[in-house]
Formats: sequence, structure tokens, C-alpha cells
Amino acid sequence: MTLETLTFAATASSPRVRSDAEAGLLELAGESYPENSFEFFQPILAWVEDFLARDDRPLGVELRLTYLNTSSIKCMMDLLDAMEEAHLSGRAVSVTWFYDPENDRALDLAEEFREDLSLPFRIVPMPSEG
Amino acid sequence: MNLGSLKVRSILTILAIYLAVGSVSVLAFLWAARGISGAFGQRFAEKNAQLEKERLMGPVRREVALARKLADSATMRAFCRAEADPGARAAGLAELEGFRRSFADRSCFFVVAQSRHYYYGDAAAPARVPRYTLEAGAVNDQWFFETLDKVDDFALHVDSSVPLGVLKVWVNVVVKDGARKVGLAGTGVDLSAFLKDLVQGGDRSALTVMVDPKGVLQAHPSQRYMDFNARMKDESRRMTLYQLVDTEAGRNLLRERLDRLVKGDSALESFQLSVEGKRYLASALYIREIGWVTLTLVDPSQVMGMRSFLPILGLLALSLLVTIALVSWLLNRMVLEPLARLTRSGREIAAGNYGITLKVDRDDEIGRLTRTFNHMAATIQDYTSNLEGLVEERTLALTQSNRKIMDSLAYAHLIQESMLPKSGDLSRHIPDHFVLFRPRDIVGGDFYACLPDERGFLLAVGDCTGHGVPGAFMSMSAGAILNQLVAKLGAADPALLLREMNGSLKRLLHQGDGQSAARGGTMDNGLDLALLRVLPDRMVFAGARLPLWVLGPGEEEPAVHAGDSHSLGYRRSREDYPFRNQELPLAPGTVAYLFTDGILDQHGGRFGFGFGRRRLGRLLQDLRGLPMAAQGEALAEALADYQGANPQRDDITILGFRSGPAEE
Amino acid sequence: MGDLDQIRRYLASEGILMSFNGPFRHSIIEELGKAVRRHLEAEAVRKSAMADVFTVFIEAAQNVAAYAAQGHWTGPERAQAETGVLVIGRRGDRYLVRCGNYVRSQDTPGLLARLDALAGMAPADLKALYKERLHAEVPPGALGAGLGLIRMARTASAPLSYSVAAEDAGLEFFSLTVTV
Repeated sequence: MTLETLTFAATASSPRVRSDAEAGLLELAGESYPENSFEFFQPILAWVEDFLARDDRPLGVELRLTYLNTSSIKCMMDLLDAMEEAHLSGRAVSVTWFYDPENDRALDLAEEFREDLSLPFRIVPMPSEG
Repeated sequence: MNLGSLKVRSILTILAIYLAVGSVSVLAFLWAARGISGAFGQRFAEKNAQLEKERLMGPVRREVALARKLADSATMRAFCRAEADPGARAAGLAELEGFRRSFADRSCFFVVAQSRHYYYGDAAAPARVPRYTLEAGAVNDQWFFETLDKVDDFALHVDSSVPLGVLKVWVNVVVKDGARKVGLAGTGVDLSAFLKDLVQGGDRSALTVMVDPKGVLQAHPSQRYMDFNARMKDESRRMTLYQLVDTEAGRNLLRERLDRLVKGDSALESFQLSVEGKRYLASALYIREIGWVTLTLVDPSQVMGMRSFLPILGLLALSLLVTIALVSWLLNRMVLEPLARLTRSGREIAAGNYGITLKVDRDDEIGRLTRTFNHMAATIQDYTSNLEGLVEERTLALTQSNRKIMDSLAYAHLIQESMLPKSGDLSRHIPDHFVLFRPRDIVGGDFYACLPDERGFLLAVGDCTGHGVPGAFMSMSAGAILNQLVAKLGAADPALLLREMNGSLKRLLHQGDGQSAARGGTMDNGLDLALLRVLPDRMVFAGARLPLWVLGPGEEEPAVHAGDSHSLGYRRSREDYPFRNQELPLAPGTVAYLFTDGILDQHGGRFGFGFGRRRLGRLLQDLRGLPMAAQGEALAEALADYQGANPQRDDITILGFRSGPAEE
Repeated sequence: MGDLDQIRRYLASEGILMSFNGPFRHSIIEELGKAVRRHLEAEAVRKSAMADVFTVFIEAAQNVAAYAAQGHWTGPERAQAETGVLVIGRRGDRYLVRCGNYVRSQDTPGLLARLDALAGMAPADLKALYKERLHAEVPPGALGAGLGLIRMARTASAPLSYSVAAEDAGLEFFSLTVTV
């Protein structure tokens, strides 16, 4: 059974999501304050766990999130925790967090995530669009 | 009642049979009914035609009879003989008048042959004088001459001068005086009213149509047709019955039958005819007297419709239904129910209740089945109790032998344990230490040793091929050989010891490849080993595929010192492999770990992955501040947590110690 | 509705940039979010300040929406529960976000207790508490992670202040002020 590909279009309160099992890549970009974060993130978390459980290939997660409400932060933490566990077992995983260099808060948020993790976590400045 | 399928099947079968038989019966019945209906209709048509003829001709005959009486009258004969005689004349006219009043239309005529005087009287004026005298040459008068000539008794003559729809028949009776024809008497009969009544008074079941030999409609219930024909002066274009007949075949048939009737070949013709879209049973008679054919058309469905058969059909259906119900019920009682009981009992047996005995109260097939069933149940019960007894015996035997094995394994464990350094021995050299020693199957292939010499001591951690009993054998051999080598060579050069162990093991295990190839050729056994010589201020490490992890005082992450990637004792292990020594400083407070790969390979966690080096590294990093005993406990706990419900994958051995301040 | 000009003058004098009174349904929160962003961009506010105001606005508004959704309100009460007031204003170089909604009387003590506890905590403690809650298990059926107030407290430049006014039928009007 092949892994389902995730493709969510961005909305005013939820990010664009794209997954590529072939390339071992997951991308999230945009705002994240949906009405029910757990519902929104459930398929994404399931995809990550599924990918990590079946293959041996590396997984790269790229995040370009402009805002996360606290529930989204919680869900994102759960996702990163799963990746951390895989990392500790020797699996190749990595996170790249792009942030708007003019926004200190965005950098703070990224660093707060990185604090709790030992997996490769890059924080990259990226000029915001428009 | 769970005999669903048999019951359902039998009901369905009965239903199917019922439907099949029922349909055939109904069809046959309908076919017969149509025959009956047809025959009946035919008879009815015939009778009707005859009746019509009678009804039509009835009045005529009456008039004929009367006219004959007139003609037969002596007075009239006398009148014919002596017309001029006033007495005879007066008598004759009086007689005529008398008769005239009796005739239906209150008219009559009388012709004296000798004088050809035509007397006529009607309601308006009685006959007193001749109306006119008939001329032999006049066309209109030919009727008289022809009649007198040809007719002997009487003749009927349809008046063709009247309009259509009106039927006037002249009755001409010959007046005879002995053998001589002396005159003609008669009357006219207007049958129009009768005719109309006949044709239009009919009910729905029979239609009366009158046609002339050519088929031209003379009388028809439809006034439209009659009016058309009445208006049509051209006789050849008047409406015929043929025009109303649906098929060419029908028209031919009609023509044929009409001809036969007119020719006199038959008196009554019955046949089927389709007129104006409806099928009729037709019956035709030729009324020779007026030269018309009367046809009665009967719609059989109206005469004796299928509706009248419905009650019979209903009764048939009902009786069939009742039969089926009875049959079903009987089937149920006699067969299905006993079967259901048997099934239930069968289920009881399947559930383990073998003590079933069913009552046998009949001698038929069901009874035999029941008896057989009882016999089977008893046999099963027998076998089962025997079997249970057998199983108990075997289980007991197994339990006993298992216990023996476990006992021997426990004993072997004691033996293995006795070969390992006691905690006290270790504490003497490395007071702050822990050992996590977890063979997978009570005994195993991992071992560790602490061998002192004059200046320090040698720590050894080894992982022999296999686990369980075979692994234990290996580890015993390896341990013994190590002891021997240290006794002979001392512990100063760990790399040398590795080399020597490699050679000894190879010789021990594969004494001349030829022999072992014959005995157990696929075996390839050996060991991975880490040797750490500990001196007061430094350590010398040599490893065969097992590493040494060191956390210097104040350091965060453990430094990994990999051993040589070469195992000892295997066939592929080279006797001349240059194992090397690694010298490391030993500051007080340094923590060192020697371990086999058992912990790294242990699967668990969310994904079932192995514990992994990274996890171990982080864990040790987190624990680095704790005393070693506490570290050991924490490690054991973390391992148990991670392992969860998974089984232990391999033998696990971890030895950790912290170097104390320099003594002495 | 009174004199519109009077209202405008009042708003200007209080430094109110945006105000909204109505249902805090998710769709409306989205639209208000967009409006807040655009408005603050127009005001040429520092990106970090803008982010803070936006954060507080979203957390406060979603708290109200979640409270309305989980409180098993029925009938007309539901509409009342969803209704809130939101005001964003500026005082000097500080921004103020004030949010008010109806709360059941029995829920108020717990809420005020939490706020008081947060008010007494130092930033490091707040962070620790936040991290602890972040990694804790979420009870099933919860809409949010229970982190909103803590985040607001961390984002604010002064302790969160509040006021409660009793309404009828077991309801109280709760209003929260966050200075960013």
C-alpha cells in the first residue's frame, strides 16, 4: 500500500501542505491557526509516522510558517518529537525552518523548538513574500 | 429455527411448482374456455339469426295467410267469374273490404285476371271501382303477368320503388278456380318499423346487419351508414359490408359464404369475421322471400365473458394455495423440525456437551438418522474422555521434562555466574561501577571479566556467537582461554592478548579445516571482545569490534573509541591481524563504558526501531552526573521503558565505572 | 446609535485603532486577522510588535471561540457565549489588546485563579510552565492545548489585567487587557 500524498491548499488560517514520499520531503508554508489544530495536523502526523515506520530513507521537513497559534505549536511539537525519536534510533531526519529575518518573534519561536531537539535543525532567514 | 436454507428452498420449490402447474392449468383452462365461449357464441349467433328471420317474416306470414284466405274465398271466386254482375260484384267488394280491415296496413288489392282490373283499397278509401287496368305491355305491370304466369300459390315481392330504409313487401296470392288462375289477391306489408327495431334494438351481445346478395347494406345499426346509402343514388357506390370487413381474407370468406347462401347451397353459415376492428362470430341466413341476407354478429366476450370464469379460477387458486400450505406444514412437522432438533444437538456436541441422547420415536428415515446421531455422540464422548486422559498424561510428562530443563538451565546459569567476577571483586578495583548483565535466555554468549595484575587490572567484555546454551558454551571456552593467556603473557599488552586469543580460538574451534568441515561444516563461531587495561593514571584499550566510550570529567558527550573492525576466532579472522593498543589518559572522575551491541539492537519505542547509538549517547550524557550505581539503575529503567512489550533481542552487557582519586 | 462624530472622537481620544463587537466565529476571526495585519502594516509598526499584537489577538479570540464551543451552550445562550468585544489600541509606543466575553459564574473563579498565578511568575518560570504544558498529553476532546493564556502572559510587557462584571442569569462579563 503506497503512502498517501498530502496536498492541502493554503487558507487564511491554515498552511499549504505538500508531501513527497519519493523524495522524502514534507513542506508546510503559511499561517497556522485553524479552528481545530488537532484535526488539521492529524493526517500530517500520521503521514510522518507512516513514512518513518516503513522505509529507511531520510526525511526532510521544510517549514515556512509565518504564524502558529499555541495549539499548532503543540501539534508541531508532537510531530518533531516523533522525528526526534527516529533520529535517536539512528534514522536520518532533518528540519529546516525558514523565518522572516525582520521578525524577531519568528526567530524566537524557531529557537524554542530547536532547544528541545537533538536532530539536525537549521534555522534559515528568508525574506518574506510581499 | 435455523434450517433456513432447507426450509426456504422447499418453500421456493413448492412455490415454483405451484406457479408452473398453475400457469399451465390456467392457460389450458383459458384455451378451453375460449373454445366453449366460441361454440356458445356461435350457437347464439345462429339462433339469433334464425330468430331474426322469424321475427321479420312473422308479420309477412300472417299477411300471407290472410291473403290466402281471401284468395280462397268463394265469394271472390264468384267475383272473378262474374265481375260485371252487380250482386257478385257487391258481395266481392264487401268481402274485400272486410278482409282489408284485417290486414296489417289496412290495405289490399285484388286483380281480376279476366278483366285485368286492379282493385285497391286502403284506410283512406275502400275499393269500389278499379283503380286502373293492367296493361300487358306496361313495364310497371309486368309483375302481375309474371306472377300469374309463374306462381302457383303465392309469392312475395319486395317493393323496390320505395326509398332505402323502407321495406315494403308485396304479398301476391293466386286466386284459383279449380285449376284455372282467375285472379291475384294480396297486400303490402311495411316491415320498416320491424326492421328498424330489429337492427337497432339489439343488445351489445349481438349485432344485426342485413345485406343484399351483392353485400350492399340494407339495414345497419349505424344510422350514418344508412343515411349515406339512402342519399347515394348510384347503387354501385353504396356502402357494402365488405367495406367494413378488416382483412382481405375476411372479405373473401364473406363473399364465399354469401354466395353459398344465395345459391341455396346451405341454409345457415357460421364463421368468424373481423368487422370494424372487432372480432365477431357471424351467423348468416338468406331470407329468400325478401332476397336479403341477415347476419348476426356476436362478440363472444360479451356473450359469455371471461369475467364469468373468474370465480372458478379464484376457487382453483385458493384450493391450490390451501394444498401448498398443508403440504408445507406437513413437511415442516415431519421433516424439518426433527432436522432442526438434530442440528441443535449437533451444535451442542460441537460446543463440547457430548452427553446428548435424542429420543427415537419413529422408524422412518428420520428415526434412523436420529439413532445414528446418538451413536455418533456416544462415540465422540468416549473418544473425548479418552483423549482428555491422554492429554493429561502427556502434559504431565512435558511439564516434568520442562522443569528438568529449566532446572538444568538454572544450574547452568549458576555455573556461568560463578565464572563471572563477583561484585566484590569488581568493587575492589573499581568501587564506583555498575554492571548490567542480561542474557537473553537465562544463559548466554556475553561475558565479562576482571583480571588483576601487579600494577592494575584488565577489564574484559565479550560477545560470543549465539546466545542461550550454545552461546554459554562459547563464552565459557573464551573465558577460560583468556584466563590462560593472561596467566601466561600478563595483561600489559591488550592487543597481543587479542592476537593470541584469535589464534587459540581458531585452533580450538576449527582444528584443521578438513575435519570440522566434515563434522559440522557450516559452523563458524567466534567472539567480539573489548580489553581495557586500567592503570592509576592511564588506560590501554584494544577492541575487536567492541568500542570503549569515555566521558572525561567535565565533558558533556561521550568520546567513542572504536575498536578494530575484526572479530576473533572466526574462519575469516586472520591470525596475523594487527590489533592495536590505544592509550588514553585517565584523570580522576573519568567515566568509561564497555558494552556489547545487545542494547543498541533492542527494538522498541514508537516505531520499533533499535535503541541506537545516539539515544544511548544522549542518555549517558544526561546521566553523567550520577554515581555509577544510580546510572546503572537509570539505564535499566530507560531500557525497560524503551523495550516496552517487545521481547529482548540479544544478550545485553554494559559495564561502566568511574575512576576515583589516585590512591595510595 | 448616538452621534457618530462623538463616537469617532472618543475612539481617537482613547487611541483605539480597531474595535469589533460580535460573534467570534472562526471565519470572522480569520477576516479580523487579515484586517489587523493590514491595519498594522499601514501604521508602519515594527514587525515584532505587529507579531505580538497579532499573537495576542488570535489567542484571545480563539479562547473565546473555544469556550463557546465547549461549554455545551444551548439555544440563545450559544449566541451570547460566542459574542465578544475586541479592542486594539495604542498608548504611546505600547499596544493594548482588550478582549471581553460572557462567562458562566461557576467558571470565573478557576479562570481568575490561573490569571493571578501567571501574573506572579517570572519570565523563566513562565517559559518552564509553557514547556511543561507543551509536552504534556492533551485530554481527549480538547480544542486547544491550554497554552493560550501562558503565551499571552509571555508576550505581554506587563502582567495581564482583567475585570469581571456580574450579568444576569448566572453569567458574568469577563474582560482581559494585554499590554504588548
